[in-house]
Parts: sequence; C-alpha cells; structure tokens
Amino acid sequence: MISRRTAITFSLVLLVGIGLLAWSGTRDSRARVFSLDLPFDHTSATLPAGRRACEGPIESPAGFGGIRAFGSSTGSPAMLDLVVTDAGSGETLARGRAPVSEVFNPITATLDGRVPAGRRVTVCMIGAGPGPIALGGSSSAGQPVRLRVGGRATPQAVSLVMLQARGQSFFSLLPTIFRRAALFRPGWVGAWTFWVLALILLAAALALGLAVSQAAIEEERR
Amino acid sequence: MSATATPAPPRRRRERVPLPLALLLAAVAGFGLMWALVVPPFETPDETSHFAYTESLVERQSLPGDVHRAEFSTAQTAADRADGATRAKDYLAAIAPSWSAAGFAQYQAAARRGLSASDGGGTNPAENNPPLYYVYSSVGYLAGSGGNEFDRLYDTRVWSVLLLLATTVAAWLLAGEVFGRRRLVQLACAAVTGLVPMEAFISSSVNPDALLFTLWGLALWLGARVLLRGCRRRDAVALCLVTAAAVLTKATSYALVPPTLVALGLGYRRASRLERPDSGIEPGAPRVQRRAIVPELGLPVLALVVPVLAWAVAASALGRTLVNGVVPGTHPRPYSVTGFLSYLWQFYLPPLGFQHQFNETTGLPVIALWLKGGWGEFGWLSVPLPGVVYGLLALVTLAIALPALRIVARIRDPRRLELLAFLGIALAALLVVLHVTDYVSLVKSGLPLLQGRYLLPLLPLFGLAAGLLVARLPPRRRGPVCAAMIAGLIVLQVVALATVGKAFYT
Repeated sequence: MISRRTAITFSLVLLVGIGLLAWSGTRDSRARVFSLDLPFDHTSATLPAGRRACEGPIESPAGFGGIRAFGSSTGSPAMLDLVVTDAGSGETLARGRAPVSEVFNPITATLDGRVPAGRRVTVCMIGAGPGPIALGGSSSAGQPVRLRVGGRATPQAVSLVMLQARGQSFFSLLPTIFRRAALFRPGWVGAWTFWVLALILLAAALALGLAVSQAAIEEERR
Repeated sequence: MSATATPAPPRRRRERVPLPLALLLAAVAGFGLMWALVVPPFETPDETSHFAYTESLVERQSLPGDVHRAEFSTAQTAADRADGATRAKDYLAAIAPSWSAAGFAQYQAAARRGLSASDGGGTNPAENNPPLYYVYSSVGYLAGSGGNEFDRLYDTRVWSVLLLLATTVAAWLLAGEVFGRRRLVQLACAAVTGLVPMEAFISSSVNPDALLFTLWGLALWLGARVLLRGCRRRDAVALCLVTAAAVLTKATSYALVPPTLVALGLGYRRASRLERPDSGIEPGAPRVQRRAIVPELGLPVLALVVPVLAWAVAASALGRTLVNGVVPGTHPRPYSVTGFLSYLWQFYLPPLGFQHQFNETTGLPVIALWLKGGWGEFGWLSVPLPGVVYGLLALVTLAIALPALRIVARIRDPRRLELLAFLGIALAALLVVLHVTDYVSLVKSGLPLLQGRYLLPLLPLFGLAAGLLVARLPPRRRGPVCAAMIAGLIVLQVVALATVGKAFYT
C-alpha cells in the first residue's frame, strides 16, 4: 500500500525538474568542434574601434559555424566582428558579430556560413566599438598559429574555440558526451556503460519513489 | 515433537536491510558510479596528489615525500599528458580534455610497452596527510593493477563509491537513533546526505575526504548512541575507534575529539543515573552496571589515544608534521584576536568600511564557499552549477535550516539538550578549526584555504534538520514533503551531471 499523494508529489517534482532541464538544454548549447587549446591567462590583444587582429593559420579538422573568444570591453559594452578567410587565397569564408560586455566572459559569434573541414584559415577579429576590447590568450610559443595586431606580429595568441553551426538540445548531445566520456577509461567502460547506468538510475529513482510512498503510509499511521 | 524436548534457545532475529534504505542505496550507488566514470581523469580537487600518494604506497610500499624522486610516476605523467586533464583544468571553456580516440590508442600502445608506476613518490602536497585513506584506496588500486594507469585510477574511484554508501547508511542510523525507527524520517536524513551532488562527486573521486565523510557520519551516529543509550562500553569503544580513524585520515578530524569526549562524559553520567532506582527513567530503558569511571571509560579512551599517538610517533620518526603547514608569503601580517573576528565578520557579513578587507572570494565567502562549494562545484572547482540553481539551493537551505533551528530552540528535555550539545560542539569545533586555519593562511600567505567540501563531514546534521522538519509536520504532509525533497535531490544530481558532461565533453 502506498500514499498516493506522496507518489504524485514525487512524480511531479521529478517530471517538472527533468522537463525544465530538457527545456533549458534546448537553448544555445553548441558543442565545441575544436579549439586552439590555449589558456586565457592574460590579455593577448587590445582592439579599439576599427583595429584588426588576425590569427592563423588554423587547420580546421572539422567544419564549424561559430567562434568563441574570451574577453571584455573597457568603459562601455562593445561589438566584435569576426571574419574567417582562407589562409592561402584570402577569400572570405564566413563572418560573424558578437557583443562584448564589461565583465570578462566568453564572446560567442554565430557565423553567416559554415567553414568546411580541411581548410587552413585565418580568423580576423575587429573591434567594432565603441569601447576597446581586451581579448584573452597566452604566449604563442610552441603554437602553430601566429597573431598579428594592426598588421604587426606579436608573440601572443588569442584563445579561440570553434563551435558547431547550430545549438543542440542537451539530450541530443548525450551520445556525443557518452562517446567522449568512454575514452581514457578502463577497458570495461564504453559508451554503453553510461546508457546502462542511466537506465539503472531511472529504475532506482522510480523504485525510490514507491519506497517513499510506502514509508509515508507507515508514518501517517503512527 | 516430544513433550519433554527442551525449548530451543531464542535465536537472535536477523535484521534485514529496510527496503527504503536498500532502494536509496541503489540510487546512491548508481549516481556514485556515474560520477566516478563521467568525470575525466584527475579532474577532481587534488586528485593528482592523492592518487600519487596511493601509487607510492602500493608500488613502493613507502609514503611519498622523497625529495630525490619525481612527484608523479612515469605512468601517471603519461596518462595525464595523454588525456590533458591538468592542462585543461583552469581553462575548461577554452581547453577540453582529449576526446581523441587516436590519442587514447597511442597511450594504450605506450602503456603496453611498459610505463613505470613505481618511479614516483617525491614531494607531494598531500604527503603530510595521515595514511589511513590511502591504505583503503590501495585496495581499489590493486584491483586495477593488471591494467594501465586509467584502470588503476578508475578502479580506485569505483572502490571509493562504497564509502558514499557507508556515509548514507551512517546518516540513516543517526536519524534512527535520534527519531527512532521512523523510515520516512530516516529516509529524508539519509537521502540528503547521500544525494547532495558535491558529496557524491568527492566521494567518488580519489580523495581522503571520502573516508572523512564516512567516519564523521559514523562518529555522529555513535556519539548519539552513547549519549542516548547510556555509555555502553561497546558503543564507547566504537566511537573512539572511529574518531581515531578520522584523525588518521585527515588532521581536520582533531575537531572530532571534543564532541567525542563530551559524548563519553555525558553518556557516562547518564549511565550512572540509570542505575539509581529513583532515576525516573522510563521502564525498559537500557541499564548498565555501575562501574568505576576508570575501567569504564579507560578502554574507549585508549582506543582513541593509542592509534593517534602511534601515528604521532611514526610521523615524527619519519620527519612529517601532524598538520599541514602554511608556507609564509612575501608580506605576512601579524595574527590578532581582533583580526580573526574581523575575518569571521567578513566571512558571513559584508565588510565594514574601517576593516582590513580579506577579499577571500568574489562576493560573500559564506555564499561562495559554504553554499556554492557545499552543494556543488566540480572539476577543480571550475565547473559551477547554473546561477539560478544556486539561488534555488539558497532558498532550500534556508527553508530547512531556519524552521529546524526554531524547533531546536524550543527543546527543553534534558536528554535532547545533551544530544544537541554533542551535535553543536561537533559543528562548532569543525568550524573553529576550519576558520582558524583559513585565517592563519590568509594572514601568513595571503592565500585562502577553505573550500565548500570541508563542511561536508557535517552533512548528516543537515540531513537531521531535514528529518526533523519532516517529523514535525502534520502526518499527512510528511510523505509529500519528503518525496519532494528526494525527487528534488535526484533532479539536482541529474542537473549536476549534465553540467559536468557539458563542460568536459561538448
């Protein structure tokens, strides 16, 4: 015998919670395609309005449709323009624009086209004002990319992350997450392990709900 | 059956694990395993150092700290480089751990050729920790000893999940001791303890805090038992052994000694009262024989003192300190009582204009450390939950703590007051140890020391508060409120795992 009110409360909270997670997961949840693997431990470039910093060559192992940098603006919010060009021919492949806040944050731009896999590209970042923009990065020592700010080479590099073209829901990313999480694990772990565990957890949660409902009846009878 | 047959001696009834507890443990084990396997290698606080300690103990049968040796073995360094875990730890948004199947295959090939796991054992930030947890984790390490470094690391983590289950059981027992056999109330207390994401995250990593949480949970239960049932020798010895084990796990546990002594003292006094015919104790209450205090409490105290003294002597012989020291910074400031009080004020309240500002965290430390770090901050504390979740958790924390405090403030029953004294001293002692250590570090080196997880040994007390709240509700509301708590904790676990999955793998 179980307490129906308890069972209903348990189910409602669980459903609403998971529903909210699913809903929030549909908002711009773009997976990384690849990154330059550079920390953003200091300012690598400062871009007042109209100034350009170009970084490349960047080998693109997979196609991407968005770029994320890390930085902040000074004095007032600003805009950052990003242009992706072919490193050899200089042909423009895609463009994007992103707002920059005064707090150091990721700066995410959606590109107007998809940059295909297998290209050597250069990413140019242009301050679109009104305030100057500080972009985070680190030393370029040992890195294949070079940064030029206002046409002059610097020993720095801006930290960049290339993103998928479109946002995906969290649940649609689960196969990717589990596949990636199965690497660098013991031999007995595969992507299947996480699916099995998820199923076990679902069953355990439901059984726990029943147990609470049963214990509630005992408590009501006290 | 013969009429002359002598009656069989009464058999002791075998206690079965109550179903609600068994199902809770299944859920806690599932989440614990998920945490152990989802989190990338070496992506939990100080896991590199704790794993290196375990590895040194197993592979070299020696504690780490040899200045002539490397901090990490070749096997650990190669595994870390292949996965890129520590390279990524502070800049996860820009650098992900490796997702390369080819990189993993390359590592496996190198591991098959042989990478030494025994050439580590050098100086290590964890080297002054007592060895008990590392002896425990050695069993997990040995289970993976036929494989590569990832087998050894993950088998050690999975072995650690058992500690999470033990902590959950300890909370269940504590609630049973305090409230009696009330399954719903026990479930609320145990679920709060076992399903808080930070507890599961730390308990499923290679970290002595996992054992610390278990031992504190057990000590709180045994202390309550000693107090409420009279100081039975078996319980008192168990309490002292658990406290000694906690001290041998992490030096923070010296804070457990005062409440243990209080429990013994009050428990002994209660046992003496129980013997008097006019004691007024209800019929059926457990009775003990009057004994002299020395033999009665001597054995328990020995159980506490001997292991701790043995470690102190061994540590001294090995040239180790009993507590981790603070390395002085370039501009150390003098200690003072007023300075400490100012530090305490700024930890819990906004700083006043005339105070020297410690700036321990961005925002109030009580929020940044106790609230956020206590409920959940993952990786090397660089993966927080979404901001809105912390807002909700602040409300939940207050909704449990404030009514529970109100109920506690009205307690007048002397037996309950003694229990409160024991639990209150445990809380205060840990807070004092943590705050004094943090203040010394801030003054001496300018660096803060506290993390939210340091408060988690007291999580069963928060569980008790949740249980108390459920117990005092009108009977028809108890079930739904407990159900909402547990379902909410399950949702929180899913949100936390999703946050970690997104941060590391997308």
